[in-house]
Amino acid sequence: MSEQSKALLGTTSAPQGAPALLVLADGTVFEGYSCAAPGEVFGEISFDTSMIGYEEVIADAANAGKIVCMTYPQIGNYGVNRGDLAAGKALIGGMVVRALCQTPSNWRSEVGLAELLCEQGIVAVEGVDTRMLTQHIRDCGTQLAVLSTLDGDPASLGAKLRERQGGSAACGASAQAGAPAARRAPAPAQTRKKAD
Amino acid sequence: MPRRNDIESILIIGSGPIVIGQACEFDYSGAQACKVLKAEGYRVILVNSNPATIMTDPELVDRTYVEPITPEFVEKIIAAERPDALLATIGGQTGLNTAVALAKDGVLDRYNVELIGCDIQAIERGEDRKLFNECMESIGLETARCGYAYAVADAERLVKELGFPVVLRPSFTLGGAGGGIAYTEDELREIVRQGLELSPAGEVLVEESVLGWKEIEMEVMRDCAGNTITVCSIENFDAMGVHTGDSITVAPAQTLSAAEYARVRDASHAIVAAVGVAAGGSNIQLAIHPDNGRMIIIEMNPRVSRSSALASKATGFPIAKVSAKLAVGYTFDEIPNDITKIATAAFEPTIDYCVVKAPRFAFEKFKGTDTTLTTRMKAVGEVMSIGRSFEEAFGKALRSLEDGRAGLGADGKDAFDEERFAELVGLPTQDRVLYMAEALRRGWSVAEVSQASSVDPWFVSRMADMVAVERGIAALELGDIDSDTLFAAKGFGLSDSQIAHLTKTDEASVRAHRAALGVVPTVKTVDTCAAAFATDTEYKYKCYERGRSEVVPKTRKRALILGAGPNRIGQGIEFDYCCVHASYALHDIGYETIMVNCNPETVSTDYDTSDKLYFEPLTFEDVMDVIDVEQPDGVVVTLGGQTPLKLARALEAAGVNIMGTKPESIDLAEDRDRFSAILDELGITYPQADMASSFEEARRVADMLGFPLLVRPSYVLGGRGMAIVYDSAQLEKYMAEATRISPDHPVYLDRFLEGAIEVDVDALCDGERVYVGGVLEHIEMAGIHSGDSACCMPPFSLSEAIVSQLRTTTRRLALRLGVVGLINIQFAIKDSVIYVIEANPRASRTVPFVSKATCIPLAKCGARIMAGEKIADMDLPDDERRLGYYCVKEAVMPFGRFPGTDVVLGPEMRSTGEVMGIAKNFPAAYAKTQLAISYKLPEAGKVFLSVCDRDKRHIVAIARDIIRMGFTLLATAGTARTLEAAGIPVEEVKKVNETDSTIVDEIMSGEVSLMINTPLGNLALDDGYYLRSLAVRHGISHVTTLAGAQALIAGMEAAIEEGGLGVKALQDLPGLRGS
Repeated sequence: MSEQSKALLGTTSAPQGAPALLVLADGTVFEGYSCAAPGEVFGEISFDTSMIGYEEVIADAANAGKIVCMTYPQIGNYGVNRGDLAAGKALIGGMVVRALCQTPSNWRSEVGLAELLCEQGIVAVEGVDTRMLTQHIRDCGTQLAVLSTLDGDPASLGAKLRERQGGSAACGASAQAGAPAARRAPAPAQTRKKAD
Repeated sequence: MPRRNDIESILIIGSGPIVIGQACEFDYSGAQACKVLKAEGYRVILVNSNPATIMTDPELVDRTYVEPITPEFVEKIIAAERPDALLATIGGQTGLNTAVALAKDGVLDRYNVELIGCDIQAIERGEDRKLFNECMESIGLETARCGYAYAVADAERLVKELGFPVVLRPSFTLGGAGGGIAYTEDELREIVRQGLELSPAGEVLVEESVLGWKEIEMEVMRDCAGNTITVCSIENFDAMGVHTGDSITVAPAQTLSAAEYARVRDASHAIVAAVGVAAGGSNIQLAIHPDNGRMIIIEMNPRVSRSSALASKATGFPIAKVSAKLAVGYTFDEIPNDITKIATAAFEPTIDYCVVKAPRFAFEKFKGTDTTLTTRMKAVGEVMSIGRSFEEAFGKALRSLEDGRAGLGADGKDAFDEERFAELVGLPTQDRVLYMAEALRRGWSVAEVSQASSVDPWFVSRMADMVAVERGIAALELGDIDSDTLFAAKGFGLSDSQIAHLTKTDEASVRAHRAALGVVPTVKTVDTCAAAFATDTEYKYKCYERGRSEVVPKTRKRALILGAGPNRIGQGIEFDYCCVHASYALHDIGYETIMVNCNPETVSTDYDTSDKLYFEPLTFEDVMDVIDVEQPDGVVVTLGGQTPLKLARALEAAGVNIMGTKPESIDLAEDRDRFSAILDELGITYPQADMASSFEEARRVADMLGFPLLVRPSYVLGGRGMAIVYDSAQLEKYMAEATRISPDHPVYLDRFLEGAIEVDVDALCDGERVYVGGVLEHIEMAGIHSGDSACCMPPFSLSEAIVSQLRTTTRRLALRLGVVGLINIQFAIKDSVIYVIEANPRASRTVPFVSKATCIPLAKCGARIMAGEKIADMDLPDDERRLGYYCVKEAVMPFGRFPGTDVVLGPEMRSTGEVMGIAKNFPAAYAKTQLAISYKLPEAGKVFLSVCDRDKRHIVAIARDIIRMGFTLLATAGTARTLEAAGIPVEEVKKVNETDSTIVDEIMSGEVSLMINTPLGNLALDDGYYLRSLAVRHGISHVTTLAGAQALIAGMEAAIEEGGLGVKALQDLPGLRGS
């Protein structure tokens, strides 16, 4: 991101954060910007398609330790009411969004999502093409991933991932961002609500 | 449960003409339902009086009746067709009201017709406020505190409890017609009095105000097993107090927390169950207090609606299609999701983009009316846009509106009322968003703007970011802007045109700079599942995202069809009809068709109409972006009205192949000098004309041509700013105003052919042969815009010689202009001389009507010609054959929506829609059109006559006919004298402002059943104006032209003489081909 664009976005409600990287076990790399706590987190990458309900997603025990990609592109719009966090705190390992809202609006909101995540030390990245990431997870399956605001080197992050996995590579280790990924059995969406 | 086999035939009621509050979204939903039920093997019977609809295409269903949608006519159709079931939930309020009337009259029982989708009790619980409120109370949901008024005094009593302001809603009216918000006793009395008259039940709901609350809409569906799904949530940008049809709306809801959304969702599901929607879609509107979350249920519609059309387009989930399947017994789990193929309709759609809908208004056409937005809908159309952020979608929506703006201001066209600036940031009007943005530019805080406008701070914050980016760009030189910065700016919704303004360059330079830096949009897909499943859907939108573009490589010839954009007066559903037909035709001959349009109400933006759909604004930037990605072999610009036509030159200059008639030929017809030269060359007569840029020049022209003159600005559609001037004073006034409307273009002045008969001819031309599709004789004389004039096909009063001459002239002109496709020529005939008024080498507004009348699909033929086919190979019947029946098209005027505006027809088009009547003679066909619009013809009572001097001589014969039919006559002094002299009994009435005048009382008491009032020339705010407005408000039939009066009286006689009018299916008309 150029200095000029940084200056431009600096005048909006959502200035650009520090560079951050998401690297999947299969080698796919997504670049983005830190939008919560700094750090480096390893976890299974998954996606969530709920348009409303990020506060449930982050506090869902089923998501504990996972790096969750939100498919709805603007997250954090209505802030967070701490009482709505099922576990009382965020349980996810990390979060990937297209854009995180810094100016939430809702009468029940006590804290912005970014602020909450920072406060709880959770790493999050924005500026990622979350639709492309979702398609990749759908086609290649869930896998270990690392989200880092500390290490700007994809190769180094890839090495750390391999180390964690004990050298075993997941599907399509050579897949690159932007390249059409091999089609696999589609992973069912986790949060789609059936008719009641 | 599987498909019901106990019913074989289903009657579908359409929604009739396009009116404000009920537009072509019902053609979209109706056409879907028709297709689905036909595909399911049912015998489908359709009634709809609107010929410009896809649903009335004769090949779509088994029996198509283009007849008035009244209980009487629908009963005749039921008697003739004996359907087993009636589906009334997809034809809007009109369909529902008609079904209720048929059920109550016992017609459905008598013919053993079952109402499917929704029963009468459920409809009544949904529509009747009292029953609805009781129903909500029974399930523990809150509605606004309220009471019913059956007289003004009731309302005054209720207000004492509720306090001002109060919301007033007449029961059973379309799009909230007659409703309003009263802040004072005077307003209360005025609105209640009007509302009582408009409500069929004579009932007005007086309700506690929820002004300023968040307005949320839920689109939910239920199947016969009681399963309920939510298709979409929609949040209104404009808070409560602005009709949702007039609001900017956003999907999904942006500022509801999960807990709040769960409450809203649970309530919505409980509501459809409690109201008793058997199977189908419903729309629920809720208000949520922004400071404490208190939830009030506003209303529910137990049918598909404008919002459900929007929700379908926003999510890709076809609500009408699924509704139709649910109505015949299927449950959600038995209906496959067309897009994902894997899932069923039981899976609620989820989206990974933001959708913004913005309303399109036409206040400039209705001078004198209040432009404040209220609970009474005034928008004539809408646009929808899709982006990966609200900002991106919002910018796109605002530049889609075709109001000359390039986005959220910042385009060099801002003009603010400085004196009222602060007020206009808060007051809901069509320009409020521009005032809000400007306020942010001028240093107002987000909180201040939100406070003033009641728009949620979330939306205002997004606007503040857009304004910040705009400011950042303005500080840079275009050449210095780097790739990252430009990419970011585009992502915030800025158009090339805005960036050009901000950097003081031009759009072409911005585009070139973008291309050089590689800042091009990415294409994403609408797939109902946020990419959770792999799909091969070709429903696309562009966004600025540094990721993967979802475009499939080209495998066959591609044709790009440019749609018509938002509905507005002068450009409506007729053009969408032509685009859809072109898409079908080109697909059939092997093209991959790509539609580009931004109007969510239309059939063209149904994802399965074309092989590929781009939901995008019809600006040069957006269209070229699509062209760059798709590389079409040809682009169709001549079927979507003025919108795509305007782009023709620029596209051609960019190297795009324009299919059919070339921009050079379009220019030949549109450039007055070049066109006149061609007419001279061919020896064709045309009214003398000239142009002028100032009053002095205009006066010189007037001296040469003589008055009266038809004056108009160049390059406009729908007669915008057109007028007839009778003297120098009027001319001076006009010139002063015209230069304001369009300072860059001169004003045209034509000799006005007073009293001439106007004729429209629609024809096909392939460069070698010309096929005359139809010759349409106008009923109103020259001077009334062709879009507002009724017309008849075949001509009812023209001689064979004249018609033959019209055909010859059409042939010569079409060939000379080099038309390849459709052409429309307007003629005027005066003293047996034929004048060419104008030629439009494109699809005209009358193409659908002509196609229905002759059963020749003109737009399809036109598209095939554009693709290189020849007329000779199309196996068309002789274009000079006799039809053996008469078809009349009549315009539908929206005056009831715009109190205060004059209702006299003139050269500026103001109608919103049209109806068609088919019968064995002209008067009977005309009578049907009147029935289709106003639902009844005057049958008894008094007829009020007041005509201008020019018409006095001719009124005598009409008056005699009126007397013969048993009416009594009232007339003003001058008209009365003429009638008395002819020996016709008449009661003279005094003018409105004279003492002892009784005419107002007689109109208000309903004694007057018909008003014939013809003003002359200058339309001053006189007696006539007042009386005409009164007639509109009281729903009294009124005619403002002598020709219209003649036709109406003949029609009334025809209706009486034959003991009622018969019905006829399009499939039974002689000469129907292809079936």
